[in-house]
Amino acid sequence: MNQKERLEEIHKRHEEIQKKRRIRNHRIILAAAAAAALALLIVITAVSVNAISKHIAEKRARETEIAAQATPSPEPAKEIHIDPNVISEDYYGTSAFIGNSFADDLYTYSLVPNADFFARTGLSVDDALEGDGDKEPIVGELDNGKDYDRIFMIFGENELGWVDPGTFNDEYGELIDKVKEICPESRIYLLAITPVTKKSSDENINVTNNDRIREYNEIIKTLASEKNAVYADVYSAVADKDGNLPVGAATDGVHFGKEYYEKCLLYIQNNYE
Amino acid sequence: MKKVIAAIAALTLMMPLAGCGNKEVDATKVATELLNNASFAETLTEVNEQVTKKRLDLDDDEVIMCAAFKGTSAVVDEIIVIKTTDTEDVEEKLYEYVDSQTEQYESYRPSEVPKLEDSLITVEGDTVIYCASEDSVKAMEIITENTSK
Repeated sequence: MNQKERLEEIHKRHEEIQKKRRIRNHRIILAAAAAAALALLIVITAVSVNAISKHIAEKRARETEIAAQATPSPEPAKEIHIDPNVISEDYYGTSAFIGNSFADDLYTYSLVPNADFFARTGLSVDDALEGDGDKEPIVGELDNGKDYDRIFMIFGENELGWVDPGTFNDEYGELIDKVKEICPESRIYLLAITPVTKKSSDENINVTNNDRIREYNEIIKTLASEKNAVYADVYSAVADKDGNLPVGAATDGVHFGKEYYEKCLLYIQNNYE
Repeated sequence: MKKVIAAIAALTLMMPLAGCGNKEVDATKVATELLNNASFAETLTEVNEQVTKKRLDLDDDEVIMCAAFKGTSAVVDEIIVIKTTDTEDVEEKLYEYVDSQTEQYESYRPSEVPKLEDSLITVEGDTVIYCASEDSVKAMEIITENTSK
């Protein structure tokens, strides 16, 4: 092999070596880049997860705070012994009832003598919230400085004849919000509308029939869920097997007497905290 | 002397007549007689005295004794008999109550309004009596029978 050939071989070898080096370096760079990218990805992921966790924790904390403000849990330390057959003063003692003739009759019968009543025969949700003529809104009477453990809201009977049940849904929702604003620590109970007798249902005066009552009770039940309130199904407390108020329970087929109010009160205390 | 004797005699004659303005009325008896013998649309339930006082906005110290009975919100039938230290105030509060009931039932149950228009509010001695029933003439007879002695 002469010099020329040797040089060519050397150059060739150098080229090969350089080529190899280039390839090797290229691979190293790629590897390093990949490693760096992976590291960066890991870092970014870690930071993101941490941020998301923190966000979730903060959101849960806010939700918990709001829920606690809206519907405080019952005082666990205070145990109430309830005789299921006796209307409990402990359960109802620091309560308020706001509503229509149902609430007014409860007041008249003195079944819950230490509760406060804000009731008027014929009262509807809009009148309760906005007042009627020269009458002040009855909901404002809740703002009296007292702390009520429980507030029982009784509406719906006088709104059965409204053209659009959606209006009842909206206005009752506003009324509930107002009650929560005035009494943020109180647990709110929305009572179902009680059934009427079959005769009254068939007469269907002012759309007062049991199908319509059940439709409105579904609205009340949904509102209770949305507003973190308790739906108290007093319809079931008094209805017969056909879903009607029993014959003889009410002279006008709608407004029952003291015995049936006792049933309702016992049903509530025995079924809802 | 004759003039003095005449004056004493006149005073003696007047004394029994003066006693007629302060006749004693048994509030519970009047209320019970109305409950049992007047005409009502449904069976009335006894109402607690505290509830009646609050409903009429009466002070504790003006009510000596109270007997009351009421129907469900379906009807305006009611009996309230109050022995009181202030008949004028109780009477006025009862008129206000009837006005309030009339306003409510005009929209709620207009068929009940005539009973309110015919309802009785009467003062007998130190007792004020209110009765809304299906027959106010009969109710008035019962009140008269039980308050005239």
